Amino acid sequence: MSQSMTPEEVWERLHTVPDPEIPGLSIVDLGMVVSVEVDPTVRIVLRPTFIGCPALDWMRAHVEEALAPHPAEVEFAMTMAWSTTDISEDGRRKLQEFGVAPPHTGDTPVPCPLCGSSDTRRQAAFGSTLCRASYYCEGCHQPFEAWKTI
Amino acid sequence: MMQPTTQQAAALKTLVIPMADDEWMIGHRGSEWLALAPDLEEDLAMSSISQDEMGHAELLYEVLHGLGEASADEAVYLRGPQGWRHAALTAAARGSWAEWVVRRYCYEVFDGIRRKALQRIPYAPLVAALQKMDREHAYHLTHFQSLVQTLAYGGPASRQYLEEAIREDWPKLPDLFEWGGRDEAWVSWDVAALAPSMMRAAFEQVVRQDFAAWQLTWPGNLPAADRAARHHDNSEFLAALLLEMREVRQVAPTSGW
Repeated sequence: MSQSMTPEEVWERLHTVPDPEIPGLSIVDLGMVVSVEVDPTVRIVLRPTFIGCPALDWMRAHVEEALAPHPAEVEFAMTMAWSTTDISEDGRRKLQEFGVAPPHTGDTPVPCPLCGSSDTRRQAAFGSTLCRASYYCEGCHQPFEAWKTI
Repeated sequence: MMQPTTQQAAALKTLVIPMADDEWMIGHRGSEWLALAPDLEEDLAMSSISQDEMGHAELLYEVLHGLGEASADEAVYLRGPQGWRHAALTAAARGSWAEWVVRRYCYEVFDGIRRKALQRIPYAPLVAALQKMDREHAYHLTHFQSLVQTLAYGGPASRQYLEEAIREDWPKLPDLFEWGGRDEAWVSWDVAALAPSMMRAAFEQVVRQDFAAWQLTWPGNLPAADRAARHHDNSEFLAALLLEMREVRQVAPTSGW
């Protein structure tokens, strides 16, 4: 019989479950993990970022996989509020490293995640996924995406 | 209100089903613009916005499920045409791009007013769902406002195209403001903002201001809708639409969303 996991071990493994499009950015960094309970069954409550995010089932499957062979109950608290301020500092840094500008507030231009220039402009309020908008950097002449602020 | 009474649950369903169905239908029709929108940015925008709307519909069907209605899956894939309560305009066949822009702009203005009114009903799961949606809708409204503006200032031909679209869509708007059920459903909450006449007036105020700013002719105040609004009994149009919408599901019955 396998030994029960500690909550710390569960959190550690949840850190390995990534956003399907941004390698290295975990569901913990995104602020999606609401609670972890071990009694001794593992119960995890997640909240979605954007409501219509098509990756939720994928994430659930990967949480179960990350905790295997321990069975886990994964529940989505669909109506629980989530805002881009729930992304951790670590998460913002990982977005930046991947080349997606982290959520930006205020009137200043979004700094380019590729070269750091502030000479950027928004091309469209929407992007390749629900959570991103399209930008262009005049500094390095590259298009880039930024995580939408909600 | 933690656990609604049978009567309250019935009243909630009468108000939430129309919204869920509107969101579903407008999301479905929006997805038809993929690869047809005027440029790549619009393709991406319609993809994101339509995914948002379908997600919102799914969430509302789950709220309804908590009140004893069928699951989201059953609501979308198994419900007969007579059970749907969307406003006809949200499911209308694809017309011109300008008609779509006008329709979507009007829908976003209306939907914001409706969300605000529904949030005054003290049913926590509904309020939480609506508040979560609010954050995403801010992007939708500004987007469709900017698209109307682009057409309004795109030269005389573009403006004419826009004004024709407004004339075309205007008479179809009144259905939006009706709940499609017994008046007791909204009267019982004692929230004046839920009254169709109040929602219509709030809509007219916002759109009139925007139209004035864009120098567009005000097409006149909207009349009250027919009492048959949101009822689609024996609609061949809706039956055909549902058949097409469910095509993939028929081929792969165990597939997920």
